[in-house]
Amino acid sequence: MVFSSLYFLFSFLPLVLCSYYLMPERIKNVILLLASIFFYAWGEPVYVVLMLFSAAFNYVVGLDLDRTQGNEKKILLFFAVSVNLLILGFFKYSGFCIEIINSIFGLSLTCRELALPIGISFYTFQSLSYIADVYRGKVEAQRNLLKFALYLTMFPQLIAGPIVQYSDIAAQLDNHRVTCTGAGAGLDRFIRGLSKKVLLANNLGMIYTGIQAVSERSVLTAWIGIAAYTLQIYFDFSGYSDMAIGLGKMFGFTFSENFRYPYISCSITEFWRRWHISLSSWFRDYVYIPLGGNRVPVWKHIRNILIVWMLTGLWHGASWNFVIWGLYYGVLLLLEKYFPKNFFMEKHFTEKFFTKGDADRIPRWIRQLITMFFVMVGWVFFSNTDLSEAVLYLGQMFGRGTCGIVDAAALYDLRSNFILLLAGWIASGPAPAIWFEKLEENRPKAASVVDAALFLLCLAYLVYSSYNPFLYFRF
Amino acid sequence: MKREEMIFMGSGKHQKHHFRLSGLRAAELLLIVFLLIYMILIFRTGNSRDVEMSVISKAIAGGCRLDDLEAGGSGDMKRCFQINGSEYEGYLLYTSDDLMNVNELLIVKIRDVSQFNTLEDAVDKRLEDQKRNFHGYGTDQEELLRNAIIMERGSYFFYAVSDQAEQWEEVFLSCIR
Repeated sequence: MVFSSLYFLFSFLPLVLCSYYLMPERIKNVILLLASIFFYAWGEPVYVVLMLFSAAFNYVVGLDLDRTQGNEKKILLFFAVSVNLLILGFFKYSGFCIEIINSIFGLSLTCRELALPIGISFYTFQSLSYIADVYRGKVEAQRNLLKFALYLTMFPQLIAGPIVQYSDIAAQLDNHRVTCTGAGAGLDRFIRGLSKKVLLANNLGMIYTGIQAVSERSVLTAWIGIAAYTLQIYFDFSGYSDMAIGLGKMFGFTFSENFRYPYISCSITEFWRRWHISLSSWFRDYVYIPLGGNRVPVWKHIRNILIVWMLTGLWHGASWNFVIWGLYYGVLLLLEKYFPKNFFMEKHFTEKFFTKGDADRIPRWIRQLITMFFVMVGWVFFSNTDLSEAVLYLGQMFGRGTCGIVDAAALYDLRSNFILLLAGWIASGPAPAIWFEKLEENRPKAASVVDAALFLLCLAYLVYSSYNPFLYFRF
Repeated sequence: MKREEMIFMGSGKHQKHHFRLSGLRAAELLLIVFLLIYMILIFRTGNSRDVEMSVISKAIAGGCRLDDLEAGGSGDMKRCFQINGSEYEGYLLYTSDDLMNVNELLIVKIRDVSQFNTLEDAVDKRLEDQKRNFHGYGTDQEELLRNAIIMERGSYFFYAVSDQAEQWEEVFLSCIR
C-alpha cells in the first residue's frame, strides 16, 4: 500500500483516523499499532513476521541491556547488533556477497534471490539506534512491548523513513495528544507531500525514463535527463517524508525534518546537512562519532569518512554503483575539508576572475551551481545500477556520445519539458513554502482553497495513472 | 526488621532478579531459534508459495490484458529464447507473430536454482537482439525493451515487455504471495 494510492486515501486512512480519534486515549496506541501491522502486511504478508520478530527481539534485548553491567553488557550489545545486521545482511546483501566471493575466488556459487522486505533498512536502523541508546544509558529501556512495537512499526515512517531515533520519540509514546491545529497542520503537510510526489516526481520521472530508454543521447539530452532525475528523486523522497511527518502530526506525533531544501546548498557538506537528515544523523551518531569522528589523527579521520560514506552508499543498495556513489561523496567531503582553504580566497585569484563585489569570497550562486554540478553527477551513479550504463551516461553528459552537443531530440525534450523543469527547480527551493506560510498567516481560507485544489489535482492524476511506488521503497 | 529477615528479603530479591534475567535470556534464545527457522524456510521457498503453473496461467489469462499476444509453446520457446521448455517444471509464454510487436510475457517455474542463470542469459540475449532489430527506427519498441521487467521470486522466473508489464507483474506476484 502506498500513500499516493486511492485505496490508502479513501479507505485505509479515513478508517484509521476515525477509529483513532473516537477511541479513548488508552486504546489509541493499540489502534495505531494494529493499523501499522495491517498496513505492512498488506504488501508483505510473509515479511510482516520478520518485522514483528525485530520488534520482539529488540524489546527483549533492550530490557536485558538495562539490567546488565560491564563486560556482559558489551557482549550483549555485540550480540544484539550482530543479530540485527544478520537480518539486514541475509535479506539485502546475501546476493551481493555471493557475487563478491565468486569474483574474488573464481567460484560459481548460486544463491536464490530473495525479495527485499520493504522498509527493512529503516526499521533495522531504528532498532540499532534504540539498542545503542539503551546501552549508553541515553534512554531507559521501554518496558511496554506495545509501545516499543509502535515505535518500530508506526506506518507513517515505517517504509521509507524518516529514521526516527528512539530518544526523539520516547516521551511522545507515553504522551501524544491530537489537537485540531496539529491535525490541520498535518493534513496540510500531507497534501503538500502528496503534490510533490504525484504532480512533480511522477511527471519528472517520465522525462528521465524516456531519455534513459534511448541509448544515443546528445550532451543536452543527457543533462536534461539527469536534471529531471535530480528533481524527481528530491520530490519523491521529500514528498514521502512530508507525508510521513504530516501523518505523524495527525496522530499526535512530531517527527524531525528530513529535508531542508538541499538544492540551495553552497557546498557538499551543506548538502548533506539538508538531504536525508535522519540518515546522515544516524551514521554520525552511531558510526562516525564512535570511530572517533574528527578528533583523531588525519589518516584516521580520512578512514572514518570513507567508512561512513561507503556504508551510506551500501545502505542504499547492494550493488557497486551505490558503493561508488557513497565513496564519491566521501572523497568530495574530504576535499572540502582538506583542500587548501584559502585557494579560492586568494586575492590574486579572485581579482583575476571577479571584478566587483567581495573579492574574498566566491559568490553564493556560483557555489550553488558548483555544488549542484557535483550532486547531479553523483545521481548518475545512483540512478543506474549497471555501472557500464552509468559510465556511458556520464560520458554522454560530457560529449562522448555520437549525437553532438545539441540535436533535434534534445530541443524537443527541452521545449516539451521546460515549464515542468523550471517549476521543479523553483519548487525545490524555499520560495513556495515561504509564500504558502504567508498565505496561511494572512489569508487562511485562501490557503485552504489552495490545499483543496492541490488535493483534487492529485486525485485526478492518481485516477488517470497506474501503479506509482516510491523510489526509496527499494531500501 | 530482624537481620535474618533482611537477609532473607535480600536473597529473595536477588533470586527474583536472577530469574528475570534468565527469563529474558530464554526469550532471546527462543527468538533466535525462531529467526533461524524462519530464515531457512524463506531461503528454501524464496518467499513464495509453491503454486502450479496452471493456477498462474489462469490468473494471467483472467487478470491481464493480452489482446495482441498468443500463448506460445515449445517451438516459440526455442525460437525466441533458444531454451528447451521441457527442462523446466513448467512455463507460460505469451508472444506475438507481428514483427513490429515486442510485447512478451514469460514465466518459468524452475527445477533447480542453477536454471536461473540459463534463463537470465537467454532473456538478456533476447533483449539485445530485439534492441538491435529496432535500433534507429522503433523508438517506442526500444523504450519498452529498456523497461523490460526481469525478476526471480522463489522458484519462478518472470520476464515481461509491455506497457502493461507492471500490471502483469502484480497479478503474478498475487498468485505466489
